[in-house]
Amino acid sequence: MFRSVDRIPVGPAPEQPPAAPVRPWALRRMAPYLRTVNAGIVATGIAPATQIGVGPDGEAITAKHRRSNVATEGKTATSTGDGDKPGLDEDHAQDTEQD
Amino acid sequence: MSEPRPVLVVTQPDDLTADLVIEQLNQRCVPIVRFDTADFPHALTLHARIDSTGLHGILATPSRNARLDAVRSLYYRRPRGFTFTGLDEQDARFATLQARYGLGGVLASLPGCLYVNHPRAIADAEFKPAQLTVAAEVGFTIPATLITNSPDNAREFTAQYAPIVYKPLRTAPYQRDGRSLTIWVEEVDPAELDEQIAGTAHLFQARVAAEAFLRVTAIGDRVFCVRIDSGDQLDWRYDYDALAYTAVDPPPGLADLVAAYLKRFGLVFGCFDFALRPDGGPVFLECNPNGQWRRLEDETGLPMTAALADLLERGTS
Repeated sequence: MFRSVDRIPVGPAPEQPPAAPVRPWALRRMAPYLRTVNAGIVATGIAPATQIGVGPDGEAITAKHRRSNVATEGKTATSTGDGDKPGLDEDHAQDTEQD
Repeated sequence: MSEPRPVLVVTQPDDLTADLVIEQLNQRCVPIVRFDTADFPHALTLHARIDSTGLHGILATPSRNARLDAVRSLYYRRPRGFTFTGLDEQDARFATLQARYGLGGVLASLPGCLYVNHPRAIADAEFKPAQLTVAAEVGFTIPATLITNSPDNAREFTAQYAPIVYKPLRTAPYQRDGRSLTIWVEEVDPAELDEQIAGTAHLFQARVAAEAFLRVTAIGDRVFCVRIDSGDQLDWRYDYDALAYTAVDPPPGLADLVAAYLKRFGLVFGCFDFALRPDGGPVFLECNPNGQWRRLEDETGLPMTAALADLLERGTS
């Protein structure tokens, strides 16, 4: 998520780079997520009075979350954590933005 | 100063974790000013003055104003990057850099503000080689680790420490055929190691014989320790549904090492992962300075949201 890359300051890349390196070994280990879940309700704005995220209908995401928790209790593949949305896995794939 | 000092929450609109913390602060009547850096400049107005008395001025959001010399604490969560649609590439690059160094530079320089965490401390603490080096220095047990682009070095390391695992030094968005991919922590078959190791930096690590994992969330001087039993999963993030969570006391001495580690990086919040050896000894794996904890609270009832609200409410006082 964060552009921590500039904590190692470097100038522009050389204009005449050396010969193309081999493809990194690690790329062959890229694998899919176990399951995909619907990212569900997404906040698109902030309620002025509370500063809490609200959906397009103006309802607080926290309220929707509580209802959703009750409705899906005991079922699998809910998203009570932030960690199981493919591509949004904030523990595992935090650096989703590049300079 | 008569009016209460606000807490700044810097994050995107879609951030349920921040919402829950803000709810707590609202109940305590602590003023909040929330914004996303991506809202600059169209929906944020920056007015920062710096003179011999320091930094002053106002940051105005569509709904609130924050006095820059009166911010109690800043909760740095998940802000998004700047965009300047409609500008050509080099104009946009110029505008982005001005925003980044201007708004970003002001947000990083607020006087008397408690940062949870400071963005530069987050950035520094995200480098795995730095994490492991500091962890070893403060006294954690760490797994033998190799960072190399030498196939021969990788083979020698494997011969010495097998079984080993590979971990990316940094994850990156990666898609194939429209499907998101990532790299899970898995054992490396020595026969797989080849000349492509030379393609970039690779991190290999001795696999820790673990019977479970510990996720230790440090919030200020409080430490919340959760044991995660993951069955036979080596990477517990692969299948959250297979996990069992138990609130436990931290192993003796762990909290002091956690405090020393945070101090070294200038952090007041951190999510530490340990492998728990069968003898009960924790082995440091990594520390995410902006990690997730809400699921752990949901599963164990540990009062982490309240602890974060306490920290932000208290500020530097």
